[in-house]
Amino acid sequence: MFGLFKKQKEEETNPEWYTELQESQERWFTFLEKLEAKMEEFANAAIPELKEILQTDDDLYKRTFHKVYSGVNGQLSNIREKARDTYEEKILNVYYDYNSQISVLSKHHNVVSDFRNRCSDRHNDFEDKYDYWRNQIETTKQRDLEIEYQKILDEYETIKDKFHCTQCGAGILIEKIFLIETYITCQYCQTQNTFAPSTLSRNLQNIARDLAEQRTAHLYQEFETESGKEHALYLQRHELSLSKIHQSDKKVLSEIQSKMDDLDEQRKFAVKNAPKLRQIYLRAMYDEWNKITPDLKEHNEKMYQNQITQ
Amino acid sequence: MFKKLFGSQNGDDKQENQNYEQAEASNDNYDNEYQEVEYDPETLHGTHYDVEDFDDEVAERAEAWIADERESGEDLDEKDIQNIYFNYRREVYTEWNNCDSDQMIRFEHANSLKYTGVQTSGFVKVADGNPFLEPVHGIDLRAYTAMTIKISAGVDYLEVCKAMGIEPAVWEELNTIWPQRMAQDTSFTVTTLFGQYFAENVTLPQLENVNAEISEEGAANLEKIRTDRYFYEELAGARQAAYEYGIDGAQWILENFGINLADFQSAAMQWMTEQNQNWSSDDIHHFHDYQQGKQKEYAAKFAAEQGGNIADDVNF
Repeated sequence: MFGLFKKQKEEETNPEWYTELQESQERWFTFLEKLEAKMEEFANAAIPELKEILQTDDDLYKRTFHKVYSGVNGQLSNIREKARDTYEEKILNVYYDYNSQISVLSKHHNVVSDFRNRCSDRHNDFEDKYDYWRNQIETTKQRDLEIEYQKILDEYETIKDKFHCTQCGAGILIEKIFLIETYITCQYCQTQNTFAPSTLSRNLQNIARDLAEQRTAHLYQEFETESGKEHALYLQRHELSLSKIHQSDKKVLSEIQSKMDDLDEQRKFAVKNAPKLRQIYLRAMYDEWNKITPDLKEHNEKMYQNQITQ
Repeated sequence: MFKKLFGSQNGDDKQENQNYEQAEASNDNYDNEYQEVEYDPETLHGTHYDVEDFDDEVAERAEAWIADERESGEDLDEKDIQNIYFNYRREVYTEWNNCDSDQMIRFEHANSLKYTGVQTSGFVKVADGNPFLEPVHGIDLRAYTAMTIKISAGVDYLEVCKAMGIEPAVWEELNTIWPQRMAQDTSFTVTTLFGQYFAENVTLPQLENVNAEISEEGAANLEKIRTDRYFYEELAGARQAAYEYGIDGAQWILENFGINLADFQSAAMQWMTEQNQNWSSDDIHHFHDYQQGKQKEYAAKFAAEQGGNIADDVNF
């Protein structure tokens, strides 16, 4: 079976099952190509539509948008699942089958493992593309919160001096944007009035943090970049350390060592600096947040304390 | 870093051998006097040792490792130290009780507040005078949860306020302060307790006559998702599948099974708490697979209704 026990000469040529593996591999590659094309076509059609829906969805919670958004992601995951299931059924199963029959000592064994590696690499490429489209779709969620904030400010300007006491009819100035229903005492007749903010201004507390994050995104980015350095510098240093193995020239060795020391210094600096940048970002973000919703300051400061001690 | 692991190669042989003998001796002992370990129902510690001795043993092992790490130039932060303690706690517990990992996880759940400062649903421990649990305008967490359940079941909040005899403005304050406390409380006591009350479907005498409309069929289905785990998993899978086909899953459950969001979440919390208390990895896998299977079934149904998936015509 499988020509395993045939003579040396025949072993040098490809075994008869080689074509089967090759065929499976070709089919797999074509299959993924088609799925990728579908994914691209679908995402390219969905992205502008999602943006359009977000723009026109008058609902405060953007429910229509979220429904369509999750449906779009559902189709994308469906494609991904299809690739995964097929990989298991048509590639892995074939691999296991041959792998159990062909001895690792056979010179043809590498044909089997190469088959698996090529197919799995191709699958990884597909997964990368999936991630790419998923991220592209994710960006449709982004909306400029400054616009929404401005609407709330504009509305406040128009209503702030239009509230009157239910008892004596005197004008009561709404001194700030209230987030929830609030009692306000009339300064003329001391009657307690209930002021109910509009849905639009109530929504301020839902967008406040996101808006503060939007305004301080550059600081967050600085922190992210700094914390990513640790690993990158470690890898660079590691590669240099590997290059020392076959090096005997003392001068070169000492040069490499000094580069490695330098990288290590940089790495240590990044490790210590990243938390500082995080704190700078958090402080700035909370300051912005407090500016947008001063009423939540006391609560937010407690949250800030919790967060920096984490 | 690996000094400890390779200690025997550096002339530590004698000690290693002693350890080996000791281990053997205790195994013999174990074989001869085999008996089921008895656990304290509260702490889930074995009753054959003192909790203090257990903590001391963990500390001793952890501190030895920490000293060793520091000696070899490792920079350990608070998190590393917590992890070291965490791992030795697992090690000592499993050793001393000769138990499997499920029992170990149940033990961790029962002691999560003590050892990690975080509550676990089903094992909430409340100390007297916790400021996060002080009533707000006379409404404690239990009452607040009862009100929330009614409102998320679809009862108008004004009706709930009326039954409770409070002004709507007061409700809005409650509904700001309780969630703020949940967010501030790093031990998650408020959140976990809220979830537990939600799972228990707590109510108050004042609210007994305030009910969301529920059909006869809905009431029967509700009873079923609370008692039949398979039925709950099926609906949870169906709901997930619905969202993936652009359908509002919660609304779909209400329309097809007459169960509203509050009742569904309550059942979800109930099963989660049950799972925490009777931790069994076999059961968890079993129900997870069952839910996945059901999700696929419903996904196929939704796909058929919508004329298929976009990649249906791509074949291997």
